[in-house]
Amino acid sequence: MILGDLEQSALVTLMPGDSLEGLIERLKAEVERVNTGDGVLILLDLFGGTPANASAFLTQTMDKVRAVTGVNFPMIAEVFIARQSTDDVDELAETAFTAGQAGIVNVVESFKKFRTNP
Amino acid sequence: MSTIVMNRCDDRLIHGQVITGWMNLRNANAIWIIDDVVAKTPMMLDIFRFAAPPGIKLVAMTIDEAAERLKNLDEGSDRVMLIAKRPGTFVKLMDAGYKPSDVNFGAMAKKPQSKTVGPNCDLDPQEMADTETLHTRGIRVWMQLVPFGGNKEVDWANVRNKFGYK
Repeated sequence: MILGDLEQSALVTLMPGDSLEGLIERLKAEVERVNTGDGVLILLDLFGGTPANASAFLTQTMDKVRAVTGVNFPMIAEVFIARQSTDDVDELAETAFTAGQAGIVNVVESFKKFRTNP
Repeated sequence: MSTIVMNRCDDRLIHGQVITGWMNLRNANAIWIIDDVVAKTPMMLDIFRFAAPPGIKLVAMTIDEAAERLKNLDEGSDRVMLIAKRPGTFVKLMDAGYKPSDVNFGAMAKKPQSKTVGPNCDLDPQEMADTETLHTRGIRVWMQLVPFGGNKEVDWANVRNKFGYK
């Protein structure tokens, strides 16, 4: 909607038929499919969930695979924008981490601070 | 003396808030993963330790190792949650002398020829036969993914007749 068609990206969802090993295999296949050699960054929601556990396993057993949890829209948007100017997967992981955190705002509290100290 | 405070079947083993909820409820401080694959894949165990709640003693062991350790719970003073991927693991542990008070089923994936027996719980023919074995040996089997939210527990004893067991 905002970013248009996204090349070299894949969407993987945990399905009722997924065991841990099954999801590892499915994720691995998608990583291999979208990887052109520079590596793959996996963005995930829940740290400690099965997709994150499977991804953590892949970061340790495959070359140039990185993963960042707590995914939100700012994280996704910033990563795809940054990807236009870098092929460095570590740099993208750092962008995801920073943008994800910056995207979380307690609106009323932040606005209060803004009003007292603009 | 260590105490087994929960026996659980879940083919994703430890995931998200699911385990935290049960561990708090049962006041558990240790998890034994009983699975030959995880016991022999140190990286997999490391990932589970990395993701587990802080302060939890997490170990993995083969079925044979678990059978030995369950014979001697005098050492230590842990409150232990046992987790295996399949009901057959508990059947094997029973064959080796262990008697679980009951067995809880959490997430069990859909697979070829599996049938949905409870919330998030699908069993293939072998798993169902093993579940029935536990039942006939007097072990209560109940299905509940998380100890909070709207999902009530489902007792195997109350649904087994739908799957051909009389």
